[in-house]
Amino acid sequence: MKPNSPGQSRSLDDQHRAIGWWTLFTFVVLGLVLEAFHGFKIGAYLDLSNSSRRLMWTLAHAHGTLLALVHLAFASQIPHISRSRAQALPPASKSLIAATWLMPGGFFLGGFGGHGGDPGPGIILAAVGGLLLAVSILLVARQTSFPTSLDSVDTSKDRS
Amino acid sequence: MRSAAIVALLLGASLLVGWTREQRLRSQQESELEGWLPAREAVPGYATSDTCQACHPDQHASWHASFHRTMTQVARPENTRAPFRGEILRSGDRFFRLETDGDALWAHSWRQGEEDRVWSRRVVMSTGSHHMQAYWLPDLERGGLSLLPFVYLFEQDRWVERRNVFLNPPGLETQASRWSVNCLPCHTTAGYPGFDPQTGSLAPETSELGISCEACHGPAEDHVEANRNPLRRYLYHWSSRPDPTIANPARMTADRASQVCGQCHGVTLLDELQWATSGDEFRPGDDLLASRTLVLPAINGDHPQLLETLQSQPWFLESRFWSDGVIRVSGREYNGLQASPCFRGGEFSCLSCHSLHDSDPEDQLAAGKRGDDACTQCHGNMAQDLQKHTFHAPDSAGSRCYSCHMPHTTYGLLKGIRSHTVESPSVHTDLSAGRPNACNLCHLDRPLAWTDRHLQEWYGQEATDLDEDDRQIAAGVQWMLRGDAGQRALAAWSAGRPEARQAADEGWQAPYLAHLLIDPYAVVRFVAQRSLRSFEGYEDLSYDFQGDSNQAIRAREEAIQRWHVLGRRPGARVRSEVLVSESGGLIGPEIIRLTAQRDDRPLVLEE
Repeated sequence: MKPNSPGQSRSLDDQHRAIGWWTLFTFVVLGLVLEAFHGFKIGAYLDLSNSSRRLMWTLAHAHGTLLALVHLAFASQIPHISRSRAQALPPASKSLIAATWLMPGGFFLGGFGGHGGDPGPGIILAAVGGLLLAVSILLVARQTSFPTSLDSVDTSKDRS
Repeated sequence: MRSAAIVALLLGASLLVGWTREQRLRSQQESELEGWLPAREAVPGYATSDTCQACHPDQHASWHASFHRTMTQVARPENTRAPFRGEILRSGDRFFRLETDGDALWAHSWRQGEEDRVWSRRVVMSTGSHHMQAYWLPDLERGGLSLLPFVYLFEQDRWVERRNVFLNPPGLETQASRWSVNCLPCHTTAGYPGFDPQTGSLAPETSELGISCEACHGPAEDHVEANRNPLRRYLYHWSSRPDPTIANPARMTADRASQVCGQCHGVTLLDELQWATSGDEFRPGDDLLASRTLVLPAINGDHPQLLETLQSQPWFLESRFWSDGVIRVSGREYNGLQASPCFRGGEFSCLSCHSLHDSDPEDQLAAGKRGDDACTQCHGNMAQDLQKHTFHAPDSAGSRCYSCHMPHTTYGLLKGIRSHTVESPSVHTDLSAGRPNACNLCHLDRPLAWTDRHLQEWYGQEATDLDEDDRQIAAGVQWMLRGDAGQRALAAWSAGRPEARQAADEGWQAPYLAHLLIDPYAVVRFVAQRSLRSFEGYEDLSYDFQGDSNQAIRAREEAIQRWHVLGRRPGARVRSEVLVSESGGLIGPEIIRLTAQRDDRPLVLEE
């Protein structure tokens, strides 16, 4: 795949926009489910003995929702990244997508099989996802920092 | 306009000065309070319960709900059950006014006729949070802390003199407790007096006020450090191996697990000087008996350490044990357990029935262990045909294992408490040791001969040689009229128990409880009035167990008069065993005769 070709850019835009909105939908629904657990006083979520699960699922909801917004932000940034710097976009995209699966998924799975104050072993996925998210953000950040005069020209070309 | 601004400025400035002064005063008071408290979080190796909470939230929560945590607390309004709302109390010729001022509780005191010489002391700590609460004040004369001479009873919602809630002979003041010596070891975690043999001074230290996690699990600093490593934690989560950095009574042998409780719930002797200077050697998981001697009079009554103790405290045994060596005071269940045949089997421990983390804080009985299940986990064969064993209706109190095998023969906290020496009912122990037998603690209206006959018929026990009184007169009547103060208190308490009232029929108890309203022991009077008032028709009897003898005599007469009205119901049975004549009156001469035989030996029960 060639970096920042018009077709690819559109593809990445669309892909992340779609992932963003669907992820947002998924985790807003999860938020509703968690609210319902509060409403119906579901012991498996609210009991003191399940405090670790409650924390993990709350974190899954929060991270999933925020990652959805990151996808939308990412999609909106792609057209503004110059062709000369766009080679980092595919790995950043893949890292972000993986992080979107792993972070909330890890927190969610961490809500099962916990022991005392420690979450279940699934929490390790959240750590891996966190690393991938950091990598993704770093890659994007590097492409958007310190614009050169050439970048300005390229960007203006893209816009035209 | 300008003058208004100046006035507002001056007003604001004066308010600020006042507020600053108030804050400084509060800060000074807090510093003074801290100065009277033991040095906390100073014991090496201990991490404190706050640290445990992060990894063990459930266990922390169950402990937090327990009365162990609140055994000792800094005296603040939120920790205090007593009102401290300006009430004035009197003990002898000394008056006390108790007040709350913000976050502080105060006691102001003066002697009668010396109202212009009032001293004021801030209450430093409280002891107890379950049945009663006692309060500690700075002792400016002797140093350290001394007790306010009153305790607050929760059930009765009233102040009473401290000397009146412990079983002491009349006129004998309770021993002046020194917190850093008497209470510190078991009412805090890892507390010790910090005695300096050179100067004779005390500098008490403790890990935490109250009985916290590390009292039972041992010092946890190493455990906390080791388990900062998540890999280590998960390896232990997934393995069945115990973590060697912490003690867990649930993983100990029955003997060692019970010793964790026994470090406080036992009558033990230890090297007091060593303890006072450097603290307790025992750590949960250790062999308690390596550093202490457990007092079991029937087994080690000739132990040199015990003999030495008896030289300085001749009453040491009789104030704690029945004459056959079975413990008779509350809070010392480990001695009872040790004397039980069940314990000698090697699998029976405190944790067989109790749990701190999975129980009702009221009695810490583990979930599912409130009924016969506690016993049938080992004695399952009994449960198959309960009535064949108990000879009582299966759903009655008489068929509950602990009714017969753990009767209320220990005394403490103004009530009867189950014996933790698991044994079978015996008339012989009643006669030889004075310890009431389980049968008659419910069937108070039956003579010992009746019990003896049933035990022979049902369980093949040998006949006991009984005198005429034991053949004719109800055991409950005899305990109340001629027993020692401890027996009288237990019998009076049993008389009010619903199970005993059902088994022993109602009505006859009132005159005997009325008789105990004039007992020389305050505790007996207290227990008797509480039982008496639980009967219909006596709820509003005017009586104060701390009041003068005239009002006590009046209350007794009134109670007996009420009984003459209430007790003579048409068709009521003639009860010669309980000394009620055919006419429905009391057989006075017999009552006088038995009362004259009352065991008036001075008795102190060191609960």
